[in-house]
Amino acid sequence: MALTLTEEQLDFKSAVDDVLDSAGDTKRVREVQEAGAPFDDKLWKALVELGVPGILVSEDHDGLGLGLSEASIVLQALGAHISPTPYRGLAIATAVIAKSGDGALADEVLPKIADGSLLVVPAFAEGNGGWIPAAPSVTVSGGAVSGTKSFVLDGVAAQAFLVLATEGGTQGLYYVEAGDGVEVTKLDTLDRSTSAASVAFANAPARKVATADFGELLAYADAVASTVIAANLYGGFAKTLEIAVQYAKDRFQFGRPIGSFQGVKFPLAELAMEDELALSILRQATTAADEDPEDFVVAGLTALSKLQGIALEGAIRLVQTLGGIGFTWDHDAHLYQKQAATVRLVLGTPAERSERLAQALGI
Amino acid sequence: MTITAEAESDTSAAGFEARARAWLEANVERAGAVRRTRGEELVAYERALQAKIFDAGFAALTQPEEYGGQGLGEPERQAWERAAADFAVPRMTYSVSHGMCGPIINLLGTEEQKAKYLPRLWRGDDLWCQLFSEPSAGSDVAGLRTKAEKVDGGWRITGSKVWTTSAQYCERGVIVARTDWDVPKHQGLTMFLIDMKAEGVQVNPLRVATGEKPFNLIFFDNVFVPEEDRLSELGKGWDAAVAMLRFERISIGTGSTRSEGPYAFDNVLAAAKKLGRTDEPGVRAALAELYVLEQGTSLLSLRMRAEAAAGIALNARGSIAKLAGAQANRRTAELVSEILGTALVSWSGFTPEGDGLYPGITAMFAGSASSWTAGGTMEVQKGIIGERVLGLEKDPQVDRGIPFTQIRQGA
Repeated sequence: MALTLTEEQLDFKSAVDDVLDSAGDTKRVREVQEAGAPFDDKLWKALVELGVPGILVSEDHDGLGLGLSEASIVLQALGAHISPTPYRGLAIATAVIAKSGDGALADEVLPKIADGSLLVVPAFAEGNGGWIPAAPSVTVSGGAVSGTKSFVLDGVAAQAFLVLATEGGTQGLYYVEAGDGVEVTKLDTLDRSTSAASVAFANAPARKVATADFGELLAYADAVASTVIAANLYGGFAKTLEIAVQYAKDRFQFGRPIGSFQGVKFPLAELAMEDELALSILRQATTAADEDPEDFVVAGLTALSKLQGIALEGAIRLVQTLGGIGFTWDHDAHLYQKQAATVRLVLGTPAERSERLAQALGI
Repeated sequence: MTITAEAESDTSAAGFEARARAWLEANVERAGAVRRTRGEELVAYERALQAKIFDAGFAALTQPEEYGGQGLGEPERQAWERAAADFAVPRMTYSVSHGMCGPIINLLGTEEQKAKYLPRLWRGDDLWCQLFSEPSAGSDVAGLRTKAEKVDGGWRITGSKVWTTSAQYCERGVIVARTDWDVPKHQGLTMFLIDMKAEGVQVNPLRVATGEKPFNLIFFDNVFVPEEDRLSELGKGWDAAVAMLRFERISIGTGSTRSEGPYAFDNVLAAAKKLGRTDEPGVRAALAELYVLEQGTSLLSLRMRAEAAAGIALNARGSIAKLAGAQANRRTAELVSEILGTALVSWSGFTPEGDGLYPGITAMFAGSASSWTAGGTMEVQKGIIGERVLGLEKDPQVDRGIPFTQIRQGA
């Protein structure tokens, strides 16, 4: 079990960090966000050049042939920079297509995903429920899908969707291209680095994703999504702690840096502990995904549960450490707080996720 | 499982693991096969077994060969841990001897000290204790008041120590005493190796909230320690103690494994099923949280070990493992009470030889406070993490730089 990064992974991490650092500071992020764009085109182009969309695509399909460990590196960096890109949705959809065993679909779409010319995202959630509805109301009949999906992550600019739907009483995944019969409505979101859409299908052509065991594929999709979101949350969490610690060193009151007061120091020490715990659990999930598929479902769900539990606390602690400046528009703290508050809910509430974990544990 | 010819000649960690497993199958009981109370019975059992393990070449794996070790690496140590996880190998008895005293003697000892003490220590012939804390020096260990006075050929030690794990069974101890009262508190300490059976040593077992007696209050009355048993340089006892506490934080903080103890997820789940409570949403949520807690501490420990094996120094991050373990224990006690309800606090027909599940959980509930405190309270750990991991400034220290005799003392 590799809970530490390899030399190659460390090199990859510094290449990703370089791209994000040179894409500009949070001023640029704010410009993109305030313009209402679903994501940062310039940054996404740079990440495409680095091969990011192809991380989870095999070399046979012109990808980098890497795994969730490397995807996690990118997702953490995006969280740390509050960068709006479509990578969360794309990473989930890519992993699921690659895992499905549908060779024809893989041959057709994975090379396009890898070169950055095709954006596919999952469309699972409905109404105000969790991300995997027990009985999807979106239905497929005669090769066409109808119904509405809500909170489709990165769905605004997507060219295709992996739709969870019911056909004749049986659930399945369907590949549906944007176009006639697909109406995408951008949602306003608290966190502008997280773009989401409501997608209404009206008899849109739907192609069933062939797979040997749908239940297994759906559990895998949940674990991948959980790991992707956990990695993204971790990146933001670790960054908020870093900013808070730096401020606690720089800010003086009563003739001392405020970090010398136990009232400031101890909560930050607790978050440093949570950081180490979360990173350990996250690495277990990404490693299991790449090396130990049997343990992956539980490991992925565990990672998200852990990060859901601490992400918001990290952002709020940053605000609290900063004092008054922490709730001004000009400081980035509120951007991190909005990101944490939003991203931790995209796959359902902590209670819903905890119940999913309980089920996966056979409780 | 029988040992194969390939495993016999396989020098890889996997080969080592196969040989270890085969030896364990033949020589050691399965974990949980026999239920023993802690205390004398357990110590006697583990002492006999440790000698067998040592003689078979499976003890002190990463220690140098000239002092009784096997001179192997981290892969073999981990292979042994994997193989031994299912067996009733010694765990409690030697945690201080092997986790702290052996490493510090190895780090600071003279050739003579290492040759004299380490082989017996690793074999378990001598059980060692750590003598730092005192009735008036808890979190502020450097404020200790046990004195060592220079006499012909050695030292005379007088004072008291407390919270000393298993001292009632120990042959030897590592003690820190004050050798100079006129310098600042950290600079007047020296570390010695002491004979716990010597004249003037009085060991009093200390009963704790669980009813057990895992710790001791010890009085030293003019106990002679020969000069050749001084471990640290004169006045360098604090540095030695810090190095040793770091071993302790690693050994306490990373000692737990998933499959052990009444607090373990699997055991609590089994108890919840037995009580028919696993359909209740609150119980399901508490069980899921317990699982996440347990994964966090065990994976953190695995990750820190992997980093140590890769040459990344752990340093003060050992305090993170310690704090995480303590907080997990504290939270687990709450969660277990929410999962089991009154079954946690009342039962009938309990005998120590019975299945012991609920009473075991109960004992841990009452005893978990010791893990929040042993090796430094949670607040002490947070101070260390804040200052030495995050680099935040220290609290103002009012006792810094003044002679020990001038520091304010409480009643």
